[in-house]
Amino acid sequence: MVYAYQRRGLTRNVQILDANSNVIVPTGLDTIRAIIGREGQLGANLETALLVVASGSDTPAGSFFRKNDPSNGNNLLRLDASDLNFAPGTYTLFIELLDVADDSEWKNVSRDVFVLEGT
Amino acid sequence: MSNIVDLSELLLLLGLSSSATEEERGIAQYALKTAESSIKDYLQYNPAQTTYVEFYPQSNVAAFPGGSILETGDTSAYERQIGSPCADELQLKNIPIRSITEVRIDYDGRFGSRPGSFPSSSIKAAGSDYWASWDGIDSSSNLICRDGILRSVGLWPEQAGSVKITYVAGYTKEELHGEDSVINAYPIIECIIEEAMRKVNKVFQTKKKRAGWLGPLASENLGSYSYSSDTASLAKLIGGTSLSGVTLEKLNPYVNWGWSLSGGL
Repeated sequence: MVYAYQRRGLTRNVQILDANSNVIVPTGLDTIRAIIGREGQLGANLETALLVVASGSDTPAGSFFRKNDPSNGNNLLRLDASDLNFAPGTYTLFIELLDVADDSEWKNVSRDVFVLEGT
Repeated sequence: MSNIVDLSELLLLLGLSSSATEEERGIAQYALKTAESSIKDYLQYNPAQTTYVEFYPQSNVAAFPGGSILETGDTSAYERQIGSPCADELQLKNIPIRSITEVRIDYDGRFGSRPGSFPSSSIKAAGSDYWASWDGIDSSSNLICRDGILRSVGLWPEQAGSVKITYVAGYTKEELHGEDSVINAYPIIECIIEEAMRKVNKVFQTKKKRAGWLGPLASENLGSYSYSSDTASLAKLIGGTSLSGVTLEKLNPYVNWGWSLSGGL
């Protein structure tokens, strides 16, 4: 579970593990993204997601998701407080991986309960 | 999958926000879906805001060709005028109405099945030909019609399927989640979650009582771990669509009683 405060940023290390608990390191054209929204209400193209942060495309407010940063398959997710400007409540945080070596489709890595407090 | 309540909201209240297994997620997801379906069924509409295209009336309204009946007494007979069975009010199926995109009237429209029916010349003017019973203003300063009644400057046609209406009805996500400053539809969400919790707890209780029970397992793989539930087993465990008395009481203010009582006219 991830508990965030609306007026403060959030930083998390996200590691992606395979079925044998080995770390998957996204490299090259691989992309990772974090999505915050309500499950079943994201829209076909995530148009109704509340926040989407993908590696290689920081948000204007400064949120980012850096692959293998600093190293060892740790991926640095930073959510800027300015991007947490949606209504406080309970949502889902989806972490997804686009592994170009294994078909070009997004794969779900994890789904966490994401609670935003209006503080 | 539920399109009103996020599974995370249910998992949080079940105390599984950090530890839900694939099996528990599957059970919770199924319970949420059936709870939401039961509640939509009771309300008689989808509370989540949606655009609809519908045809009215659902059946021919006029029961009599004329507008009067003869009543006879011992010594005399009276001709009594009767109210026409068709009316200047049309009860829409989905509430609350948020906007009317378009109304078309074609007396031979046949529910839109006749080629060329409802041409653009059949479009009626909002405000002068028809209007909803706007009874308030939402937090975006838009009109809202809670009872779902559409009024006409004259009488609505009595032929079935001669009125085509495109409209938006239902509550926004903010209103459903109690985050709106004017409209609070949170009791609907609360009921969905409570009903889903009741169903999940029923499965958990059953599971506790049966040693060695594998749950609603359909298949499980270790490599690239996956778990799938058997929906038939889940349906048996979770039960039917009956709602608790408390839920019904909470939902009553949101039911489209007008549609229910009008018999879909």
